[in-house]
Amino acid sequence: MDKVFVLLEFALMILLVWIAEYAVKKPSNKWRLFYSAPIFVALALAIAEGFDIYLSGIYVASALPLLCLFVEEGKVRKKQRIAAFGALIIAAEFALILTAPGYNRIAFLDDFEQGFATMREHYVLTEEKGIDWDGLYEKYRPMFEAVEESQDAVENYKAWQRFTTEFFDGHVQYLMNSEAKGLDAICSSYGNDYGLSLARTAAGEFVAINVEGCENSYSVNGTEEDELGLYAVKKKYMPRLTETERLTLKNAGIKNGTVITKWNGKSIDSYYDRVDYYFNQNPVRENEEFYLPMYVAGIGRDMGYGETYVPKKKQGAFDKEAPVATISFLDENGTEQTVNAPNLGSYAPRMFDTFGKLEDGIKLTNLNWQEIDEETYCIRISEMSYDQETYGGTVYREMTDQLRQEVLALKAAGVKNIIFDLRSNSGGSPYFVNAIAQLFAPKGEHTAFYSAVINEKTASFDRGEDGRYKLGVPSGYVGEDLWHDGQIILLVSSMTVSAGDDMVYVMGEFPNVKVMGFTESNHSCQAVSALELTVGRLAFSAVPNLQPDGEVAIDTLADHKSRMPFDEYVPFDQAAIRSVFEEGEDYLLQYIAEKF
Amino acid sequence: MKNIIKSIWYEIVHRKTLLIIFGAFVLIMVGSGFSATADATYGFQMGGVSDMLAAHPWMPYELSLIFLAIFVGNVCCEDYKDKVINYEILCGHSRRSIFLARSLMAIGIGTLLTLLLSFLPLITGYALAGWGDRLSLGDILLRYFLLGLPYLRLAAFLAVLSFLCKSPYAMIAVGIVLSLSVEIFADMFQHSRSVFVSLFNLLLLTEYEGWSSYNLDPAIGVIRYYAYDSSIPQGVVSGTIIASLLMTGFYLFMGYALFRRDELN
Repeated sequence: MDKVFVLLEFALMILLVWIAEYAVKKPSNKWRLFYSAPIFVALALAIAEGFDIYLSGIYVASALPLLCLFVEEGKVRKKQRIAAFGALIIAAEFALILTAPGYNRIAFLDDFEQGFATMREHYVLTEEKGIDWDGLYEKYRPMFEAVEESQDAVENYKAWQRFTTEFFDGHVQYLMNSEAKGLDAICSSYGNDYGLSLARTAAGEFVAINVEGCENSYSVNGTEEDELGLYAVKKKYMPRLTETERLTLKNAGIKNGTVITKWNGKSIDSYYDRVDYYFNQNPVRENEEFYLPMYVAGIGRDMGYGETYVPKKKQGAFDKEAPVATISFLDENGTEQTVNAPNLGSYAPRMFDTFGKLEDGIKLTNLNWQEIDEETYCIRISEMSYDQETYGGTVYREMTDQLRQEVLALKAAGVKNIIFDLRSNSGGSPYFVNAIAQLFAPKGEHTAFYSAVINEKTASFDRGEDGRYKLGVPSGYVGEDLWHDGQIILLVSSMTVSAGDDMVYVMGEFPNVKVMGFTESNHSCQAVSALELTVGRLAFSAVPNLQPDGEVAIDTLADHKSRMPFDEYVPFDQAAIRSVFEEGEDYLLQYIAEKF
Repeated sequence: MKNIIKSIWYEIVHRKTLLIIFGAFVLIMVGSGFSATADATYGFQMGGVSDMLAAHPWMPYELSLIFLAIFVGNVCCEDYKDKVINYEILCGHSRRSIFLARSLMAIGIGTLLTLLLSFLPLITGYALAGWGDRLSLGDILLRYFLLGLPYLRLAAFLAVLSFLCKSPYAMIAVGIVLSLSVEIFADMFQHSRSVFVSLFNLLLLTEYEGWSSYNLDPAIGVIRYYAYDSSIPQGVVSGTIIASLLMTGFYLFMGYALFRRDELN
């Protein structure tokens, strides 16, 4: 934008050189307005882009034509010289802003300082998670200094991801303001795509999943549009590929479920120490371990974690610089084979697709039902919000009444089992959770503490002498126990987060409720505040959600251990892999429907 | 020049339109101060006018800028209509004295009256609800008096526009655009704020650093809490003074450059 303004100023100066002569031939009072035009353009530039010392030449040059108004009418040359001098300054200025390393520098370090200081003061889980703020500052300040020096937006993203990973809290997140730069940063931060994701089965073997070329698995040539929008930028990272190169793994015999014995000659878990940031936070240790192999799959031979190769535009199919991954696997006879997998692009789109296949719930609108069989129905709860009117409040009577009718109708029809599909539930209002829980809760009063005592002067939550937050006003509901004779399963994923976690916390303890999934829910349920920074947005836990004894509820403590109800892991085995990545089925739903 | 200033002063004091407009703005500012304070203090029950000022940072100038534009436009343009400016030239007054007399009166008195209008919501709210403890009174008084400097600069800019467009009606439109721009500037151009643009300068003087959080109440739902630091950074004070004086001088120079050879028709 600034360059457009500068070019416009230049054009105006050239116009003034011409006008100086033309105005003598056709005298008019209006010509003098042209001499004030550059200053108005400079003002618009200052409004749009901010005042910048590097643009001083523009401000001076734009004021110069005003001098022409003091020059006598006939002195054309003098006016032309002034305008030409202005044009010269602007040309020099243009060259300056194109080359000066200090111009338009982004304040990455200021963002870190501001974000860090605010979190240090207001993050509510410092004690519980054992956060060492001084240690973090010492570690991350130099990292952001380097980012400031390099002005590298991708490194800025990586540094923030590393920083947010330190909190093992799903509510600590950094998002870049610019969607385009944000997508670019994601595609440049998780390594390259070698045609597969990795996972560890319940039996402890590392296996290939979401393999290129397999039906119902991700393909780099696919035209599906992912929710993040990575599809829009992925081509930039894709080399020109022959079909044989693209299908290297499939041709070598690697398919979904193939056991991978080594990655670039080393065991897969030996890479775990290198993985120092994630796309999503997994506060529970078991969840983290479930997803760790997936991040390893982006590491190329002789490359670091997150190092991502971007092909140069002119390079063709034989790109000598392009990385490869050397993958050892067990063939159908159980013999170890090795293949060099070529780079197919950025790993992020495949990784995100793998997350989706493992995490996403059934594709139904929030609070809609799906019949599984005569005895089992599933209700999709993708977010804890009903409508715009109720979201900020506490009254969900209309929703509860409607749900009550539906539940009673199912009961009357002989339905015995309900599945709550909470996978990838992104959260919302805890009062929504209570409004549903009350229908299924055992009869009697139930209490929750969604508020702590706030210090109104500082808008912060102070701790008492015992180090705990002080309990605020309790929320309550009366259980109706409508499903007393039936069974309920809460189906969760590691991205069942926030109020999604709260539903697991509240309903998981009911006697007829089981919680199941490949992984536990996220375990991040303190309410969130967000801080707008220059380049991005930092969100973190800022409002405590408490247990009746005053301890914070739900979130993991420094030991990363789950403190929430969870009954049964659905085994992630060959049957699950085949079903999800070969058949494209909702294996989890089928599995737990059979469990009733 | 002295005689021209006297005649302009006479006109300002005796021109009914200007007095009615000023009276109307007094009522508007008092009324908006009343309603905004009532809103921010739960009907004068909790807190004080400082809560209102924190919640409505643009209150002092969002509407009064319209008055500033009308006033400057009126003082600078009205005499084009009845050719008084031409008569002044015929009487032997220099263009410089005609320009300076009009500009200085419009800028000076316009700034003072607008500043007065800016204080009215504060005074009204204070009389009804007291001060409260959201912001520091000393900090706010300093910030409010400093508003006079960007007003001065803006008035000089408006004088330039007045001499360009020569229409008091067009200046009413400019005032409305300015008033609407406050919100746009506050929301859309957060990244480019600097003391060198007067609307940004006004925003910098009336928006407060701070932290806001919320709590969940079982009856009400989300309740927001705010903690502000109303002290004003030294850089903003010095920047406001330097930028305002520099830019006022520059706009006067620019205005005169445009006026000195103007055909005055």
